[in-house]
Amino acid sequence: MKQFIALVLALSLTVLSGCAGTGSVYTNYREIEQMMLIRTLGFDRTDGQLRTSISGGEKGEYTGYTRMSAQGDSVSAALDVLQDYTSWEELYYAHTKYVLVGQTLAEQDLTEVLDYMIRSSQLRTNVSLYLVKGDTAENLILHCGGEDNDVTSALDSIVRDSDRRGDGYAFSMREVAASLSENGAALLCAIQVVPLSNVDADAKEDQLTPNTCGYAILKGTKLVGFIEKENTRGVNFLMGHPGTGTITLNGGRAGTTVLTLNQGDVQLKPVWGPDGVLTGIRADIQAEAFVEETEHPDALDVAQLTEQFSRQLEQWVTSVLQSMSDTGADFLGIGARLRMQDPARWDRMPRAWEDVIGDLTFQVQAEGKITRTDQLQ
Amino acid sequence: MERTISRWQLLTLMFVAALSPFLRLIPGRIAQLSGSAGWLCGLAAYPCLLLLVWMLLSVLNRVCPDRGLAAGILEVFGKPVGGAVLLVWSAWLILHGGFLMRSGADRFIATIFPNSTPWMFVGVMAVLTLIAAMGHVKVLARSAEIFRPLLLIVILFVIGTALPNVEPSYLLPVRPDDAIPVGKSGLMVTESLCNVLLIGAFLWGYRDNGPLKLGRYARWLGWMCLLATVVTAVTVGVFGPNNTARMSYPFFAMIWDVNLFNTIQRMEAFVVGLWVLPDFVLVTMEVMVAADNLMLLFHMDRQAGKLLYWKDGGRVIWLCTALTVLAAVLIAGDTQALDRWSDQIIPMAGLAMCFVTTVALYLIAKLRKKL
Repeated sequence: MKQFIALVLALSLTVLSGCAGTGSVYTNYREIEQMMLIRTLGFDRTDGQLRTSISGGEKGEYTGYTRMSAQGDSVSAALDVLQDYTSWEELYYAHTKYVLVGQTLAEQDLTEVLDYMIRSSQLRTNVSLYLVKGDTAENLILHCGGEDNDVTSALDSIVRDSDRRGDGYAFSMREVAASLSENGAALLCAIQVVPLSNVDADAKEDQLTPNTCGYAILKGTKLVGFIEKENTRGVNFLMGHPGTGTITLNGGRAGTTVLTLNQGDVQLKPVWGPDGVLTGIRADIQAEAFVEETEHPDALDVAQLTEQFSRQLEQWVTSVLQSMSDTGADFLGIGARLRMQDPARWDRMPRAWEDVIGDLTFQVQAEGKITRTDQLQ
Repeated sequence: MERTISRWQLLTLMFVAALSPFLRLIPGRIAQLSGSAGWLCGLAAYPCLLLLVWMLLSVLNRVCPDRGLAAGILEVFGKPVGGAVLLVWSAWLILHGGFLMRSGADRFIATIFPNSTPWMFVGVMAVLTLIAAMGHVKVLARSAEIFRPLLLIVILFVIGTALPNVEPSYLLPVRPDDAIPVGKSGLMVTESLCNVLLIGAFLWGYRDNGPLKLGRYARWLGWMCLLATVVTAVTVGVFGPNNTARMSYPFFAMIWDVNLFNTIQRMEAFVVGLWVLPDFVLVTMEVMVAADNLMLLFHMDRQAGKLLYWKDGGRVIWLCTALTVLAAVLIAGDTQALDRWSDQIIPMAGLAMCFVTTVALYLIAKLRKKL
């Protein structure tokens, strides 16, 4: 019996071979040389069809990037077309880092694309989502970069810089899907397409690059508005990671002064009306910064600068809260955060959060602090 | 070689086996039942489980110390009724084992190998189970001792890396209205653990001498309920209750995102592969217990310490394994049917089997003045 079991086990090894095409039971095996790793995926809606664009496939010094685009009735159909045109390699999406969606698609509906991404057993849920403002994902993917880089490299750089500056945040698919299902709204980092020749004299005429330009507001799964770039810091403050970027203040005695943010925090409190209705939100901001650069150092007035700094913070946060109220989209889960402070009272509200959100007033107060001026002696 | 298992090894076997239903049911099904408050499921399950263990220990330590639940059932219910109960238990364990084989295969298909069919996974598990069940439970217990730290490290690693992404507003506040949904999800945790508790009780006959103390079980249950709480809290905190409820395998979806300083990533295939180990331990325990019950009823010899092959009781192990595979093949034609089994039929049947057996055992033992 021992010999019989040993024989059965030995024979069973033959079907576990990883070699494709040799009768292996391991049907998902792929040769690494035959895989094209896609790093950025784009979705647009054109002529009623879904257009999918891809970028990636760089394997080393002697192979360039592959950029392709195709359309179909569905995401899968469009990806199948791309695969048909890449018969020598298998398009492999498990290492996708960024997903871009064009503005037209987002205005119509993102359900199909989000559903595909959540269901996919290849895409990670932490893939970053971007909305291409005023343009298509296809245009950016096909025309960004050159032989040595592609849109993925450009987006890598954007993520690094905006995270440091606190003026952009690459929301992941998981965060967007969770926010849509819990709050009914979400934000996407918005990018605009600009010609590279604006800053690079050697760039070709049709070479493009992405630039952050605020946030796109999704309500349900449709685009309902934008938060402009000058107010994006308010979003990052409300999310609890304001970054350490610079703040430029104009009009003071010292002329143009640049502060660098040290830290910041926002505390939100509900404001209740006499009949138990939520009438507004109070936001208390605390932030610290130091002077990085000033036009007239001798005229630097710390008190005035602090005042200017505080008003700037208030303007950022007010503008974001106002966007929430105007669009009726609780994209930062503010309702859930307020509910945590007094759930019993919240649940007794005569009007639901979704109904009062458009009528709210905001009392925003900032206490800025200049920690050091580092004036030259 | 000593052929008995220590009390520690028994609890280790139960721990590894419990991880099989844990990650299948706990984050997703609990989020469906009780939403954001689901993370309190461990707290809700603990008293129920403690009561079950107390009744079980009361009967077994007094009525049939060191002989296991099968002997206890025959002793308390009498041979005809007890024999029927053991037959029902064997049938249940075979059905449950078949379901585990099939759902384990489905987990592979849903998370890693979307183009595969379940039969290869079922076949491999059947071969592993047959070989392990023919051997002694001591060997299985030693395997569980090796698997335990590996599985614990993976769970703690995944939880640790996901923790910074937890959003508190997805978990709080908890309101009095949540009590009933939390109670329902507590039943789900109870089901996951009570089945393992009773299978462990059947294996008491292989254990070292000496009674099992309630305190030890209470601590073990406490850790398991805490694990259920942490796994649920982290998964729901990361994906939100609504998304967690919609996902087939939310815990494994969380593993897709694990990225440690860009040096360790895409480890989901490894982790899903590791989850074969709890399935293997639980299915083998079930086949062993089902076969042991049949051997006890039909007076066959297990020949402790030897591989059984086809001799005497060995045939019963082949039979039980074959029936388990048959159950795996017939149990569900598609994923929707499998989900129904996973979410409704198996938990309800498991709870009924465990609680009816234990409560009846306790009450009849009391009536017959055996306690």
